[in-house]
Amino acid sequence: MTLKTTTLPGVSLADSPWIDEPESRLRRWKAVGHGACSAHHGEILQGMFEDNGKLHRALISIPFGQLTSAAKFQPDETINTILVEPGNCVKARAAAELTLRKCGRKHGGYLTLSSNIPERIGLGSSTADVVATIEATVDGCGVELSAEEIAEFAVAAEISSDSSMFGNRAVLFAQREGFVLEYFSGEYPHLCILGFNTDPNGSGVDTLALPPATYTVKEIKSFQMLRALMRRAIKDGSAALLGRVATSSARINNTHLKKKHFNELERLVEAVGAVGIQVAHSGTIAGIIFDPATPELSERLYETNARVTELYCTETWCFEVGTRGRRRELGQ
Amino acid sequence: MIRQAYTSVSDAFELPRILRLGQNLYAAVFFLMKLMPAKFILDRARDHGLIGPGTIVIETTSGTFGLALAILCAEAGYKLILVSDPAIDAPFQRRLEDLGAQVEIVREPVAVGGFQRARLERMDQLQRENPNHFWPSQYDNPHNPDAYAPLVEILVESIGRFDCLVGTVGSGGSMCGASSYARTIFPEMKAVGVDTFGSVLFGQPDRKRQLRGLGNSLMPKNLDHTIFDEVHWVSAEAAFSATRLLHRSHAVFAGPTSGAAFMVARWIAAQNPEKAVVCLLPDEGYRYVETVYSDEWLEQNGLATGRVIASPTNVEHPLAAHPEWARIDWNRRALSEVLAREEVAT
Repeated sequence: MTLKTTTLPGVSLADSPWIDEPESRLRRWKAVGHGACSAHHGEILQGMFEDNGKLHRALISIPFGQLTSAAKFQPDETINTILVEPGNCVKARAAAELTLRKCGRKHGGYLTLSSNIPERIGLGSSTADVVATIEATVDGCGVELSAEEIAEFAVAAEISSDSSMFGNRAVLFAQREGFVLEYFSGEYPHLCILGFNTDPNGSGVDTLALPPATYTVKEIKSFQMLRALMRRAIKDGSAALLGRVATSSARINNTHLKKKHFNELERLVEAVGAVGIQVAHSGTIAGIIFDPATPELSERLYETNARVTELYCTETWCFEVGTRGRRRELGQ
Repeated sequence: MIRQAYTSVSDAFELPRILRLGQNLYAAVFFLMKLMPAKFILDRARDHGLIGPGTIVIETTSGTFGLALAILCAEAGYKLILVSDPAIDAPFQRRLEDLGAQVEIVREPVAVGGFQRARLERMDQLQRENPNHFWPSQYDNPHNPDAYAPLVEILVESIGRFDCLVGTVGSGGSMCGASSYARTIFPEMKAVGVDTFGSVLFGQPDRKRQLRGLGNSLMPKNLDHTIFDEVHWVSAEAAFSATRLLHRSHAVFAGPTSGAAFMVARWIAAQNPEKAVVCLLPDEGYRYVETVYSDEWLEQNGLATGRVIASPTNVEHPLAAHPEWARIDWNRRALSEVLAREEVAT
């Protein structure tokens, strides 16, 4: 068993994004725009937050760089529609259309997407497609956009988006309004997450078909508290505090969208010396968060893997988040 | 975040300052802690249409909850009647009245329940006379404990994890509210309640108490005994000395409930050097300049000055608790469960 390998049902990293594709194929395009966006692994925190007397639904996503969606866009001034490949990428097509109009272009073009992000389990496949598309489209038009502008376009195109366009920057993102409520003062602390699907045989979750959770005043107050703890966690680079934010958020939201065996997972976190549990609030993905500095980390991961596999009869995968983790990867 | 001008005193002074008093000892220093529940209660009442044009806010209090209501009602333009007893000091009453509150003083206590019961009876009467009234009811209104999330918010942002919360108990609002919010993040956090001898809150028989602002002659609904891991009873003398010590050693000018919380927290912090301990300091010292802060007054009232007690006496049963300072392992039990234990004399 190799825990470090990312395995997701029906997906291998090798068969996808052609970011590294040979130049020769690209030359067939006249002026090709490129874009790419990573998946996320659910959220650290999701809820409702007060800001200047107004309430906003917002979330903090966990970047999941192992899975990516990539897009190419070739503008064509002779057509006024967008031809998309694969044909079922309706949201991406709408995003390209919207982006072109926002850039003041009246023509269409050819959009091609390639993604290895599984759909409907809460990994942000749809946002990744949309963000990659927007990037490719503006790139094709010779325009540059900030992450904030991309966020605005993405929400306009798909009603509800996540914060994947911000990469490793920790932000509290209003997913239905498309703006950042808070930029936390730093990047994620180094985390090691063992991920899995809590409903491997289910049909997944349609984000937009899900009615938005109705939170109580007490829950909204608790979210404010978790937002404050998130500031401290980022400031101190503390995996332990970040784990507490994630666990509390998962617990509150579990009353709105139940995860299978959630209570067992909470006990498991304690038993294996993990720092917390994070979930995809509109999906079935979950992750057990470890502080990479924990002694005997790999033994703990093996133990957790065995128990999760037993609980859900499913595969797991393991990935790292945070500055130090990435630096170590680069050094290898 | 960018600092902005506040638009009201209640906004500006609602939150405490978080002060590190020692290696593992922190204090939440309030201007007036009761602003937090009073504000939350009035806001919810407004949300639910319980306060409208012409509504009179009526409450019984001789303490800081009344001041908080007076400030908030002055800001919002509400009429306020506060029912109090002769224990209220004249400068405090003047302050309330200057804020526009009408202060009704009950002159005689009733046989069972003392002045507190007499005040409630007078308030009932006033409420019948004024049908368009709102009663904040700090002892029984669940919005009192629910108001304390912003306290936990500022604590976790300022210090991150904490292991123990120490505070005085009167209505149960602050300790029960803050502890239950804090435990959504740190379920293992210890809640330590500080009461005084002669208060019924944790199973002592009711009697006249010299230490005010904590304890109670009646059992409030907002007190959830199962929140507490540990309960302390402190005497007026001990609390007053600790109040002065807090001022002398840390320049924190606070009231006697703050002194009571500080003395317990200081002891717990010293016993558990690896645990972060937070105490709640509910109000400022100005109201007590002529009493707690006056050596002359202390002597006149037969109270030793500057005698700081080193540690509490452990007891197994509330009835075994005697001055100056007693402590019981409450272990998140119900009051009936604790009282059911046979009394062990110590």
